[in-house]
Amino acid sequence: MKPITAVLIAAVVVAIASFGGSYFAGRSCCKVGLPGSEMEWLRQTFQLNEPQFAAVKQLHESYQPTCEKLCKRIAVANEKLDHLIQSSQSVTPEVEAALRESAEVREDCRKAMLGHIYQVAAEMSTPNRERYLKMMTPRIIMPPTGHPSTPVQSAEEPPCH
Amino acid sequence: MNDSNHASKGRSLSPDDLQIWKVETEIPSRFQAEVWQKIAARQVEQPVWSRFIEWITLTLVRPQFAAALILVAGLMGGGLAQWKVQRVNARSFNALQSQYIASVDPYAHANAFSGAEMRMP
Repeated sequence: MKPITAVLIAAVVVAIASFGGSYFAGRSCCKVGLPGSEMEWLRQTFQLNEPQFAAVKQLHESYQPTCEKLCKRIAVANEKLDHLIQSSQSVTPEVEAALRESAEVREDCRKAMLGHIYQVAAEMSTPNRERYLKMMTPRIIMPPTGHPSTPVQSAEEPPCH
Repeated sequence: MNDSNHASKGRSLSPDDLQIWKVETEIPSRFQAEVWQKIAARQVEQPVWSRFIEWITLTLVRPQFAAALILVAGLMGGGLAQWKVQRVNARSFNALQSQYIASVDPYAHANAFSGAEMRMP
C-alpha cells in the first residue's frame, strides 16, 4: 500500500470514529415515545435531584386518575356540543346548556392542572421552578380545545448540554 | 589495445595501465540547459490538477503533515457530530416536552381520546 493511501485511510477512519464517539456522547436522554421518558426528560431539564424527582414522580402518578377522568369529561362534553351544533340551526337551550357544560369542564381542567403544576413547581429549586411555570403557563392561559388540530405550544428553549 | 592484448595473454593490468586508459567524453555545451528545458516543458504539459495531486502526495507522506491531516479529520468528524447532535437533541427536546405536557394536560389527552368511543346516551 502506498504511504499516501495509508494516510488517507487513517484520516477517514479517525474522522468516522470521532463522529461516532462525539455523536453518541452528545446525545441527550430519553427515547421519545417510551413510557416514562417524559419524566426522565423532566428530571434532566429541571435538574431534579433524587428526592425532588421521587416527589414529582409521586405527584405525577397520583394526578393521572384525575387527568383521565377530566379527559373523558372533555371528550363527552365536546362530542355532545359537536352533535348539537351540527343538528341545530340556532342557539337552542340545549346548545346553551352544552356550551355551559363545556365551559365548566374546561374550568375544572384548568384548576386541576394548575393545582398539579403548583405542586410540582414547589418541589423544584427556585430558578427551575420559574422555568417550569413559564413552560406550563401557556397551557393554562390558552388551553387547547381538545380538538385534534390544536398544537402543543412550546415556551421553553432547549437547554445546552 | 595493446594493454588489453597483454591482459588477454595472461598479464594482469597494473594501476598504471588503468591510468593510461582514459575515456574521452565530450558533453555538449548546452546539455544542462537542454535538460532543464525538457523538465520545464514536461511540467507545462501536465495539467494543474495533476501537478497539485503530485504535490499533495509528496507533502502528505511527511510525518508532520500526515499527523496534521489526521488531526484535522478527527476535529472535522467531531465538529460535524456536534452540529448533527444539537439538531437531534432539539427535536427530541421538543417531542419530549410535548409528551410531558400531554401527560398532565387533560385536553392533550382528549386529542387522543377523540370521543369517537363516547357516544351520547
